[in-house]
Amino acid sequence: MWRDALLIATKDLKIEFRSKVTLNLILPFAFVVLIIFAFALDTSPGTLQKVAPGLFWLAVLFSSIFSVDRAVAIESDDNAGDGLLVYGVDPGGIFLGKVISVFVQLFLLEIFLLLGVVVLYGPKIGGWLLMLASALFATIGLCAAGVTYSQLASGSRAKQTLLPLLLVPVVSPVLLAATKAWQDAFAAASSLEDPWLRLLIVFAVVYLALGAIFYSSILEG
Amino acid sequence: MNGYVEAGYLAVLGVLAGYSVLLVGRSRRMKKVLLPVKVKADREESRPTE
Amino acid sequence: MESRGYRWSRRAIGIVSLLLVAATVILGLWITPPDVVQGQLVRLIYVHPPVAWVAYLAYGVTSIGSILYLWKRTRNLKWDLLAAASAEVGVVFTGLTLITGSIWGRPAWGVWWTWDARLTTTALLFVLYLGYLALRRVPADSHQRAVRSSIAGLIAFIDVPIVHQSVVWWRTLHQGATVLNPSLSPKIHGEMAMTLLLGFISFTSVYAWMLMHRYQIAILEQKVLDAELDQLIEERRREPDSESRQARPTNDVGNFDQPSKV
Repeated sequence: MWRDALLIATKDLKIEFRSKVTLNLILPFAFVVLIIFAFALDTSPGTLQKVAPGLFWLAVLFSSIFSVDRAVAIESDDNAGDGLLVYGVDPGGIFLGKVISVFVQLFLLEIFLLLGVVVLYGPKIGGWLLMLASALFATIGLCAAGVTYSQLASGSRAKQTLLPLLLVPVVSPVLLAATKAWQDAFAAASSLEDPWLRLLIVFAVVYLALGAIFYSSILEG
Repeated sequence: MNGYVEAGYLAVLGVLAGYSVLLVGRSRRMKKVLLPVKVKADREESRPTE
Repeated sequence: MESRGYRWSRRAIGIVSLLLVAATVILGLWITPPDVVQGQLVRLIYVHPPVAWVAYLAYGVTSIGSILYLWKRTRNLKWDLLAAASAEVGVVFTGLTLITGSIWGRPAWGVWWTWDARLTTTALLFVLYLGYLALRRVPADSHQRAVRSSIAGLIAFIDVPIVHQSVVWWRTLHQGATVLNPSLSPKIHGEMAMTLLLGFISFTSVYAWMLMHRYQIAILEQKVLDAELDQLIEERRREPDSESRQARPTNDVGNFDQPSKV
């Protein structure tokens, strides 16, 4: 399973490296979102500094919808996924591979996005350890739930509209917890004991497990 | 009473009644659709096969 | 078609629920006294909590149906159709929970909406199961649709406690008491308690009737699909030159001509 996962992940990342969808489309989109937020709210520094973590995670959430959709579309176009199953690739491995590949892309995106947030909104950043840990688990949770739901919605002609409707309510705790964890991190009170971090870990573990269990049924069903 | 109470009861009764009508209508329509299909299928079954 | 026993029990439950709801309304609106604290507003307690309870009950049934379908030993399309029927009724009742809650909240707290943990969770539940119903409308063959929606139904249900916990922390870690403080909640006794109990029973009975009806519709829909599919296959088989025929059957009922996976 792990070998299959790594194979799938490297394959997907290679495809991504050549097509550069994340770099050329999703990253610019995330930046547009950051700018649009400033329009919608208020440019006075106090406001934007205060809401910076929430806006950052909203931008990540929106971008993740595109990323997971793309990761699954690679296989559902031309029924490539069926080919993988015929070759005997473990479905759980396919799931984990997709999660790893989307995770790598999203994590890189988050680094760039954080730079954007720092420049555009100017929040006081601190508590690096909590920030990193919560970002890590929040992203895993987003990817695991996202890949599962994207596969569930695949095959529908309206999947671009269906996926956000399915996914956003499910990952809403991640948005909430990641935002709060970062707010805690930015405030002086930063420790890994943060309850929000624990919630993010629980979410990530639960959805990784659910995805790994059910992915084969979704693929073969 | 005070308007709110009536509005609440009206909302509950109205929505439930509306949904019930919808359900009854849908099941009637389904039965109508199913009837000719079944008759046709039965007729074909009774016909001697080659 | 529908068995006679099923039809009669459905009708009986329908009539009983009608009477029960009428009794609840009469008791709730006119017979019971107004509350000391809440005044007339307390009358909403005979509908709001029962409706909310039915919504949760419906989602519970959806999850059980989903599990029974996913478990290979009990796999039967009936379970999936039951889950779907219950989810639809559940969405109706969740909508009513939100509406009645909002109507109650306005005079009691002065706002239509408050970011209380229970309210926010209920709102998210509403959207979660709307998504579940949307997923069901995706064209697929019955088995594929059943597997996918069962998984979606189950994942949605597992998500509920996580959502609830996060919202509870959200509202309590950063803000003091919630609006639902105990002094506002009315003391219940005597005929009020009886009416509330009656409310629970009558709306549960309404749920049972709706579920039976909706489930019957789902079964009939499935039968129509199967019958038409059989007929099409039969017609195809009879045609001697079925190879040369290019035209595919128009799919006015379902997309059974979609290529199914594996």
